[in-house]
Amino acid sequence: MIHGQPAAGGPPLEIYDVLVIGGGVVGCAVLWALAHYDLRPALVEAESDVGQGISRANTAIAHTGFDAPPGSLEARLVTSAHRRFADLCADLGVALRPTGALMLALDDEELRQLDAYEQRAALNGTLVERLPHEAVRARWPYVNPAVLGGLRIPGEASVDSFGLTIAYAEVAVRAGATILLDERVTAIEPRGEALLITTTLRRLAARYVVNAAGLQADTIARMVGDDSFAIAPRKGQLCVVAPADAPPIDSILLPTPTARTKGVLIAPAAHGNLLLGPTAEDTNDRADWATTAGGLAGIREGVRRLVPALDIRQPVAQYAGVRSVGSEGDYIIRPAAGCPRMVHVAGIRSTGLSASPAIGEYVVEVLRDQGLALARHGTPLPRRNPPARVAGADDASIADLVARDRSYGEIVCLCEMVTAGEVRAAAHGPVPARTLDALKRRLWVAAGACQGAQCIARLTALLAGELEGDAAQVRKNVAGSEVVV
Amino acid sequence: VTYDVLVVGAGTAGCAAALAARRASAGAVLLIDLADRPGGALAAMGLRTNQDISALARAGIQPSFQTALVEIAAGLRLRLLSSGGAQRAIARAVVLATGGREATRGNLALPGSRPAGVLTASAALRLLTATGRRPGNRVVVAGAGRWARGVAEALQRAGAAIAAIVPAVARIEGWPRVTSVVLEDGRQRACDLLVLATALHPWLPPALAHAAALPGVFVAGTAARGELDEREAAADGEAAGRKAAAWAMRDKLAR
Repeated sequence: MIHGQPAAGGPPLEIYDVLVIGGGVVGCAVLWALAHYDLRPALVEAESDVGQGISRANTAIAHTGFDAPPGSLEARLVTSAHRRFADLCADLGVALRPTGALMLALDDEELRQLDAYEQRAALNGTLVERLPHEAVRARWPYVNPAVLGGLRIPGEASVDSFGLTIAYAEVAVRAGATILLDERVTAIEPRGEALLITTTLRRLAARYVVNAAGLQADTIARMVGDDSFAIAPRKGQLCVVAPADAPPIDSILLPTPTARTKGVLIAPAAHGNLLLGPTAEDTNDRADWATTAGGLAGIREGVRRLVPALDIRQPVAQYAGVRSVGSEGDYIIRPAAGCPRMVHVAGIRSTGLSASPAIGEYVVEVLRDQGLALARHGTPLPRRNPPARVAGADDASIADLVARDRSYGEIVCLCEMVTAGEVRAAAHGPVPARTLDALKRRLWVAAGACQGAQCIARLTALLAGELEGDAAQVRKNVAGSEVVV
Repeated sequence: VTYDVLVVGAGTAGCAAALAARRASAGAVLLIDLADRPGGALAAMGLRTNQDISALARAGIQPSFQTALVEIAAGLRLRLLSSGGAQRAIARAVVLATGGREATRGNLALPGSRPAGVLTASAALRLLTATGRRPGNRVVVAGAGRWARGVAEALQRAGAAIAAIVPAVARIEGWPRVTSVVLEDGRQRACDLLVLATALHPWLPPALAHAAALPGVFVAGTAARGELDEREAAADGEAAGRKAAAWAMRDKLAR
């Protein structure tokens, strides 16, 4: 069930077994993990869609955990998630591009660091392969000829990060979970065997609360008097380049981080573009999602160091994300101090996507330790069939789709080959797309070369029709981002 | 199905190409367009109310609207998509007159926040035409493309105030909607809509980009040459239509 607005006439107090605060990839993974049990779980998200905060802007890499601090909870959960990631994506119908990664050393200091990363990978149990200059140049001829050596990490992969977040949420909703959108938590108070949660729209009660509020996780913790940790925002700017404008890069390319600089990477995304970045800028402003000329210059310089021929002449897009860095370095996953009915999932930094299935299951175990009674459903959750797509479909499948709904024959976005039928289906999916950005995350519509110049008008009219409203109600994302006045 | 000439895009260049191909006695000419009416970008943007297609009708060309060319391979084997489903066809020659495109915010590497209210001229006027509502109240138009003045006039007619028409902007500010832009000289201009109206540049959608290199494919109009006025676009389309017809004729004789 999806609620965007409270029922008219004052709704009764809803009581959930577990309420997850925050609909990023981590919160959605926790909801998905909970949906495997006979429970009444819910998720509340301040924005108009899942995956619209930290999770909307990252490098979309499913990491192996080869470079995680050995012995940390982060290393444990990322490596554990990695072992099942391909199966998970297959079950959830999410695109995974198993490119592997190649870490490049370009000077003697980086070569020494490469040794350290090789040892670290061994400690984390990750398969890696050390390659000499000749082997790197032979297989990846476009990399900097000054390369001294490389470390191949075959298990690293690119994933449709929007798709994974949405898939978790959809599977959970189909299994009976509730998602509340456009609703911000403003207060939490313990009340007997439960917590009473006030949002901008209503009051809710839950036996347990999971704090997966990302950049606001410390704010949520303070609501129950826990000030044991703090979140520091760290901004990362990224740049998207079309593959036609670059050498045929088929591996994630990583710089070797040194004490001097962490460097920017090149990632061939699951969807086909190249993602370049991120910068790492400590900031005090959790709402600073702006790109800068300096950021782009840094990315330009960083990627040319890895691949000299990669000149960012005509980028498709730039964006920035803000990661949440916890004050304890490692993940903070534990019951709140003084309020054991709340479990924090905080400081997930930049590995939440990679660790998400393991985080979800780990949080379930922490809740069990706190007394949550858990019984698995009699039957396992079904595989998720991703929504039907016209691009790449054979004639017979298209004939079936068009027979069901003629609008599957109407191309709306030519760059990404998306039809009106797909837009309509997304607007009525298990987690309905109610904004243009929500459509973009589900269909890549308006995310292609023309960035919506040709299709935004048709999309707006279509979405207005599906929302049974006026075009003036169609938003880009949050309230205040209306497309027309 | 085999067509002598397929023309993609029923704008100025595409209509001229279809007519020219027909007059050069190419047999079966198919003219398709994504939209539900002729006139291309100008019609979608409301800059031209009606493209006269009576000449096409007299020449026996009935355009197929809401139809897309979704695949094209060597030998000009085609896949078309419409509400009737996917259809396979072969063409002897193809004219791509799919229109040019302005630079997007991403192409321009324009820094700042990423709010609502930043649109290309084409998107802004398509929104106004499709929804009957204007995409902002206080507008800065940036760029010296052929649509810069037209977009300002159209938005003004729709009730918006034009805050400035400038060659370029340096930064975008505001969230969730643009609240101001910083100009290249550092001055700030308050607005709730930034329209990017740079010159059109030649462009093909990604699925068709490879087709320009195929024998028998001719790219015409703004898709081939960027910024053109209507007369130039018509002339360019006409030339492409004649070439396509000649190619189709040679192909027919060779087989």
